[in-house]
Amino acid sequence: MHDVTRVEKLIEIDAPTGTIWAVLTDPSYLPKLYPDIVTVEANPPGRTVRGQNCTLIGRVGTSKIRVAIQFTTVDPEVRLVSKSIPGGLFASFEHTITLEPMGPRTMTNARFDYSLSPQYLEKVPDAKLLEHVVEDNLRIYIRNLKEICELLPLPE
Amino acid sequence: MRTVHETVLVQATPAAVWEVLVDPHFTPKLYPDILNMRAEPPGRAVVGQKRTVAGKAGKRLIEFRTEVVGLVPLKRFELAGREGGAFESLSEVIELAEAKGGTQLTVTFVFKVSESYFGPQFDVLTLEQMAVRNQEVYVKNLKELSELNSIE
Repeated sequence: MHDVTRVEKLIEIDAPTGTIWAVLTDPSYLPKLYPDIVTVEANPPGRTVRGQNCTLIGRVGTSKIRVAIQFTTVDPEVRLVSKSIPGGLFASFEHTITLEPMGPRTMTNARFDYSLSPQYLEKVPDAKLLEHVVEDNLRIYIRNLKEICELLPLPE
Repeated sequence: MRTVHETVLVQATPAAVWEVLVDPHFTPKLYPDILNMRAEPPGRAVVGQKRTVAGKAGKRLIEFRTEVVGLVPLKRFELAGREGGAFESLSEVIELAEAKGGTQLTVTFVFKVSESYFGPQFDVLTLEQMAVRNQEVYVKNLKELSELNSIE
């Protein structure tokens, strides 16, 4: 059993739950939400459904890393949970995001519980850097989610 | 019309650069202000592939449309704008040439911002500067992503 790290952030987003849900369930946004994720491939492609797998390629320094996740709970506009699939960067990973409407705004909670794969840590040139990069990415995720969801359409 | 012309040496093979160029999954990561992109048909670039791109200009959501108009494997990648959206006209040509130490990359981006799309509240010069900055960062990111090493 590995030590599990928790990163959690509660934030108010100035957008309705529907807007946030649309971003959360479109895997093509993942590289914009996590600063060091480079690409994502979803299977099946398209909007997130329960059981959808995503393979994410990221970077740490000049090295590529791979993360595979599966969406395990898709409760529309309320809760989205993803977990890691064995074989990538994480020994364990669970990301839970919950939305609570507050009029036109949304209270959004993002929680990550994870431990890094020891086998993976042995392979990277700088394991400490990898640990920092992972934590930074998870912290920045919620800030980017807020920024994207609060974008406004052009005036008519 | 504004033109951005950049040349850079990428420390990777033309094949590694080409892989990044033709895979639309990389596009949002290459341009700082592009959020996502839909390609039709989906998947790797083919001549005639139509792309609809969502991005941001300041705090506003914008959209523009492109089409892959030229592909010479490992040598030349060409996009043209389609009607509607943030650009009145757009052309992007990326040329690759094998060079000592990697790949010589030449990127030429010619564009005109659509004033009618943005309306009078927007300053065209500021929008042009945003587009120029995106294209400059694109070249830097394309180099960085092409140079990544696999550790698996």
